[in-house]
Amino acid sequence: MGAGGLVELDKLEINLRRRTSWEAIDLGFALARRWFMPLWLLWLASAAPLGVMLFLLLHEQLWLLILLVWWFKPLYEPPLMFWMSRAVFGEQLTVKAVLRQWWTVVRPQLLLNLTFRRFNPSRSFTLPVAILEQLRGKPRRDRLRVLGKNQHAATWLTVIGIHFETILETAFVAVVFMLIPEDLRWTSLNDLIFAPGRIGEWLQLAGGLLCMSLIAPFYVAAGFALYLNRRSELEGWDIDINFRRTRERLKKNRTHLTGKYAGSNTSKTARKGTAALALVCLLGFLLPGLPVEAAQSVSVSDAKPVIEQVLEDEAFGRSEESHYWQYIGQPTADEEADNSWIIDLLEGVFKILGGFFEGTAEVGKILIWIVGITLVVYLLYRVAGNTQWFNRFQRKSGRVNKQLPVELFGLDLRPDQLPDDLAVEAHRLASEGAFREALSLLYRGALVYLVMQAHLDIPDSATEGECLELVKASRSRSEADYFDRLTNHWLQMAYGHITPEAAPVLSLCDRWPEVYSNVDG
Amino acid sequence: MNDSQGQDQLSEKVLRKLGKLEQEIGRAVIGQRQVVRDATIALLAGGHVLVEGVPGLGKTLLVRSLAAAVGGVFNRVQFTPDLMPSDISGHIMFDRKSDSFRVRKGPVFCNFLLADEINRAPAKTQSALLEVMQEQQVTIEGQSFELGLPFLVLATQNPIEQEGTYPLPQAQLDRFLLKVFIDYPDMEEELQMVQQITCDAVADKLDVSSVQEVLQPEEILSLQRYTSKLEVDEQIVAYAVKIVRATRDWSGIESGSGPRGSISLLRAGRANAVLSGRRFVTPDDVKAVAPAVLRHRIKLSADLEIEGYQPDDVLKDILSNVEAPRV
Repeated sequence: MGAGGLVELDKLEINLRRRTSWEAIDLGFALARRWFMPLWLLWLASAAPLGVMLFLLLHEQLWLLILLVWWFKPLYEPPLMFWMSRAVFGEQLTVKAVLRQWWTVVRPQLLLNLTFRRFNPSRSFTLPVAILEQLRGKPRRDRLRVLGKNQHAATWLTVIGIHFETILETAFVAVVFMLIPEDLRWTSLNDLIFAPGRIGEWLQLAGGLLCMSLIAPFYVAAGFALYLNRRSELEGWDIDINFRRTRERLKKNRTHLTGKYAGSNTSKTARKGTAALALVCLLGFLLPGLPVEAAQSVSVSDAKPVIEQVLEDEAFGRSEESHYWQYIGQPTADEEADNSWIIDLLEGVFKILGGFFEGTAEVGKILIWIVGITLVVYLLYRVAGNTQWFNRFQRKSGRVNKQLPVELFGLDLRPDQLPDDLAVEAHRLASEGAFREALSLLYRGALVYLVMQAHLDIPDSATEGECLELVKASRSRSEADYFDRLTNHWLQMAYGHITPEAAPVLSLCDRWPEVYSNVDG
Repeated sequence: MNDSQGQDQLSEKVLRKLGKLEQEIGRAVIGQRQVVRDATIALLAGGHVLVEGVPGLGKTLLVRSLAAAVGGVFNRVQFTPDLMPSDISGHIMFDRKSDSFRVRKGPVFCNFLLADEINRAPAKTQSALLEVMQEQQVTIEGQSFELGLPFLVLATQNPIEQEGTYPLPQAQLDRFLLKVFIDYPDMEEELQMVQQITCDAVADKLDVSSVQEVLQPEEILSLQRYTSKLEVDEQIVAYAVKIVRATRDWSGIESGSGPRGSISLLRAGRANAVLSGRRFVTPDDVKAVAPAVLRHRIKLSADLEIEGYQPDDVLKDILSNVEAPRV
């Protein structure tokens, strides 16, 4: 294919016929398989140097490196397209020859391809318009409008390509992981893929490059085949080629017949081929030479009667209909006038229905508001109920929001459940010989202060010994000593059922205010 | 003087000696304080210990020191695949001189038996020993022989070489009061151990000459009786039962501990209280012995085992979730 999209159909290496888009993609895959090696080398020749350069700059930020290598895909594809555009017309360039003109091939509209056209879902299909036809601006848009009409296969090609690339990359990492002997595995597959880490990222970079290089030749070739198929469909390349062949064949036959049956005009062959001969004559007129664009020099009025005559022949009796959606703009005023009675009718119907539903709509509106407000209130309630979510983001001094236990070892820890003067009350109980009650009160009071005011985190499962360890670890020595004595007396009373002497219990009662009045409030 | 006061006076006297028991063992066994404590708990509770640890960490030395400190008889049996039950319990042989049958008692007739690598013997031999542990008597050719008390079996397992072994079934494991792990000593302890053992010693012979006899076997028996009568509040019993019951329907445990677990927990808890110098059991005693008592009585689900969880991890979760007694 020459510059500007002029084609030399005689040299075409592929068999053109009418194909669906899916068949065209299949043709592209067949081409990619046939010419895989040069295409793959061309892709690597563009991608590898950029990859190395990016690695030197960004080897500390592998995720950015992977992203950039992926982002620059439109830079690696034009050489493949260029090579294929020559190869399908019989000119197989060497990789070196393409690389010599690399910049010329890659440059057209590169910036646009790398920026806002990066996410164009039919990139490989539209690439030839920029690279081979070198159209830009409005001509490009017009051309793409014509080429892209009713063409969705290119988008699906991209979607499927992305999926294949992802599957291949995941499979690559999984295979590498499975090949690591179990004894040497230091991580799980999940962590290797998703958790940030040097080796996982390196594997993904290597796998990503490998998979991109494998998929790219198929992607570009399929897009190019779609482009060729569409042009062939629009410009009738296949018909053109067949006519040329028929003309060549008949030219030979005529020469042969002239020699063998000179003077005779009753040849059976000649009679049967009247229509075909007329067509060839027309082609002889229309196509005095190549390229095909020469056909456009014949006026439509001259060609029309001939075409109609040809179509009347039995050989062209088949007709085909195809349907597709196309936006045709707003209907004109005349059309509206023609259909005004329908519109009036519809308006009337809608008015009646609107009147009927007007009240219902108002109710619906109110309901939507109620649902919205309820949702917001519910969310606020949930947030308020889970304030501990936020506690970890706050400083430790945030005592107000801390949820405090109200019971530990069956002891009620709420301050309002304790007597106003705890020490006096305990002293009174001890004096009356109710040592268990007195010690229980002192121990409970000590815990209330430790939990509520000293903010010790005492779990429900904590035993007395563990509470003592916590106090020793976080409180002053004198306080810890007091709590130690209190705990020992409490344990003896509670579990050993050993009644203590009165003196030490009274001493504990007396010292209680001294120790716990100093606890931070 | 009533019985209680008499017992108190007895215990006061014996408890002072008991306090020295761990010290004496510590003269020969450097470090491994938890293992020494667990072996002593088992001795007081009249139970047996399954020790898991690699070879060369002082298991034999521990049992020999224990035997030396309480003046008991020590024996050791190396379990092998061809070991027969009669190799442990003994057998009847015909004595030509006296022209009669004579009973030849096996190594099980002792106070302290080290059953080394118990999982290397087939199930029949293991069962013979475990039956002796349970019944504390041996039957040879229809004749029953009482074992000398106290009787403590310290069986060992090597956790790294599982090839050609016969793992103990869950029912057999349940017979051991405690399962303890013996781990490598830390740097300081190992230094001290190497210096002590290599000084004035020929070959690898274990030296327990520095261990003095502090208790008589009879005193151990009286201590065991004292321990078994130690007062336990109802709340403590409930706490032990709650812990054991929690293992039965805890997520990640395939089969939990049976009632023998609760019984063992209280027996070991009592012994721990005695060793701590108390005459009553506290929740801390139960909590302290719970891992050693329960770790071999639960079976983790396959999921947890595959993920590398150990019974101790799950027990830690249970202990931090079961509420302590509410008095």
